[in-house]
Amino acid sequence: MTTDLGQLPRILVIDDFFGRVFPSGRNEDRANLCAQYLLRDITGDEKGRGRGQTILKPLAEAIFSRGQSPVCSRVGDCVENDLAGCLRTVESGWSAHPGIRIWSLVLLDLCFYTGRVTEESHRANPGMPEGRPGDDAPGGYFGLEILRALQERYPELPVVILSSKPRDSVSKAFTAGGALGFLDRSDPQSPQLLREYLLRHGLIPDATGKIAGTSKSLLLALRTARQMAEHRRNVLIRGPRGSGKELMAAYINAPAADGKAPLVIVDSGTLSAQLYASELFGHKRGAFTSADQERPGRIVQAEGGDLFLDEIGNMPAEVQLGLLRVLEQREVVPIGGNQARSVDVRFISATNEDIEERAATGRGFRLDLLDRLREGGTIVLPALSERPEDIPLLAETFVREAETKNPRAMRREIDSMALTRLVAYSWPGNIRELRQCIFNAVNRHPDVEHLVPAHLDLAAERGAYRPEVSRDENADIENRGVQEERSLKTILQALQSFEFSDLRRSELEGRLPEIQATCGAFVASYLKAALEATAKPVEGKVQIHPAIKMALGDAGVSASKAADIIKSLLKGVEPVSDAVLKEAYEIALRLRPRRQRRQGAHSKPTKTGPTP
Amino acid sequence: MTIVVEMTWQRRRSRFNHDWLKNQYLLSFGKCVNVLAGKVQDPEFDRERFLRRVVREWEQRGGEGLALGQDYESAMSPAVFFETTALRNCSPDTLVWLRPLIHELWKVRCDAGQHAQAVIDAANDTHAAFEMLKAAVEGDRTESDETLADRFNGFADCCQRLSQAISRLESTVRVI
Repeated sequence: MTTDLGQLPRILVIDDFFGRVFPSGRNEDRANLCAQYLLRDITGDEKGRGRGQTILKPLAEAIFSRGQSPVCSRVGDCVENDLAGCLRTVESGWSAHPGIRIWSLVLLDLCFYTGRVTEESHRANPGMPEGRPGDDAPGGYFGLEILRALQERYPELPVVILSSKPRDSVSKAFTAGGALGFLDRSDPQSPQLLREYLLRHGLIPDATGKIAGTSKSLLLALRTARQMAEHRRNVLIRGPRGSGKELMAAYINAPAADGKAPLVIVDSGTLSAQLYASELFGHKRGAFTSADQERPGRIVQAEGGDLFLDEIGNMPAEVQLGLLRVLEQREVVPIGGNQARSVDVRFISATNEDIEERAATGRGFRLDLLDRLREGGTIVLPALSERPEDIPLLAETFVREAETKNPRAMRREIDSMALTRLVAYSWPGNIRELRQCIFNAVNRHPDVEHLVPAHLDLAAERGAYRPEVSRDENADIENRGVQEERSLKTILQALQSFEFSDLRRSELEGRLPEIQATCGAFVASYLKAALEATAKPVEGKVQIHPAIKMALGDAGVSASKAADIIKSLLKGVEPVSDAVLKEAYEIALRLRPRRQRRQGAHSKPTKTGPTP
Repeated sequence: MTIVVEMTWQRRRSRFNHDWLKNQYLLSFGKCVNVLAGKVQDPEFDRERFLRRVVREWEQRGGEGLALGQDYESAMSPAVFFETTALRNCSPDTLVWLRPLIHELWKVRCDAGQHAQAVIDAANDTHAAFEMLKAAVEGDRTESDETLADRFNGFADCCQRLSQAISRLESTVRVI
């Protein structure tokens, strides 16, 4: 049970019977309740009273509250309901404070007995009062008064009634009060039902840990996602770039068919209209110039599962129309084909734009398509700046990940000052920027045992943050490498399939130098990335031999050959202005000096080489 | 229309079904099941002691369930208003036909007789299951653990059904 839920959810139980504290000895009734529902009691009001029971695989942690005053009552005491105290208890686990876990769920009793604790009532149940007229009347249940107050103050807080009173007499009242369900306390099926309520309505973190965080805004988004995952209707994910939209898509996909339903990803950020259409719908052989073989589209590949459409705001108009047909008719026709194929695919789309506004004002996105894409609902992912309480956990996660990926890195602790700086920073690039910052810190300082503020390079603080750092804006932070590889692949595919014949004469005329320069810059950028990836970790010196081996994917290339390649790639860009490329070029020249040119020999400078 | 009248029968039901049977007795069964299934460890839990306590408590309180079923009609019928409200001032001539009429109408409209009988039947079934459990617990213990477990589970199911049957009874005296 717990494995599915990951980190133990925290439940607040408001109940006069199980929340009461005994002056001495344990509340055995509470222990029995915990044992039946597999709850770990962490209230802490019974410490030092024997060993007690141990729940081996708890479903949740539970904190008990009596909802009355006094909490520990003796014979002669008068027990009164305490709404203000209840609300204070709820508030203590609801407002965002660092280190405070929020309530995953509240279990609320209905009937609270009040009045004097008599010898007789105490003998029957220690600390319980004799009860007053009206306590036991469904219309006057104090639990319903608490419920209404909670709904008014904390409408997003999931509340389930846990009672041994008959359900029928109060079902309308508790439903109107916003309770999500009713658990008959002694029903043997109720523990299983509680688990289902937790999964469906509870504010619980991602069990796999891939979406790290326990902030309220994230847990609310995860809850929405789990509820949407229960059906096969299309879902729209909105959130700023770097906030983990692709991970959220995977989270929605995971429960489908026990994780066996495919999740196919289409990044629309880099594709031309023709390539995009071909990618989605597939094509027949000969459908267009480079279609030398038949290819099934991504929609067909996602049969029985989910298709994740990233950056739908970039979708060309003609593709939007084609996709609308697929959504309406639930069938797809490949480009160049005439036979439709039925498909059962759920579309999960994502954007960081105000796509609703664009669609409503007719600016580049069809409203009818948007309506289809969000028929199952919209999930809004918070920016990292809206969930600062998650930064310590995320930073810790990324430090461990970076250490794992860098074999030279020592295990380190995050210094409290560094953590303070991380939490205070604005994170315009969201989780992706945080991850990059931590990875840079670990890779640049592999030999330290503490991550201190000096290791952190926060781009926005020095005005160096560039919003458009990569084309694949919503890359999965966990699979960023894979995503970038896929982006490079799509760029190369786009270049390969681009047809100049479609351009007008005026657009073609005199563009060759520009195209050559662009291609040169592209290659130089690739070379620079390889040089940076293989630079010496501490001093940052570039190493041309490992860089060329990596860039070529050829471990057998010699050092002198590597130098020749560097020289060849950077030929014509003297003087090389980029510091990394310049350093590499100078190393190459030292290794393989140029032959002395013959006196008077004419050397024509190339104008169209790489311009890094 | 519903009028809340604090009745002795209602307090008895609350104390038996809510306070004891559901909140204590059946919950302790749930714990026992999970301890025996290895989901909960409790060094102080002793199966034999637990079973003896189950037997002892039912002997002390089990009869209350049967009594609730037997007393239901007389306690919760709107006919009680002829004793507790201004209706007591009705003339004897009127009372002689109106009181039984109100009672019969209530029985028909609320299935009162069937609900009460369901509680009585459930209480009798539970007691029969209890006798079998008691014999197994207090006898010479020649039966296997499986048989004992079956008898305990049978008794627990009966208790559950009794609790549900009692829950289906009206909680207020209705004016029909």
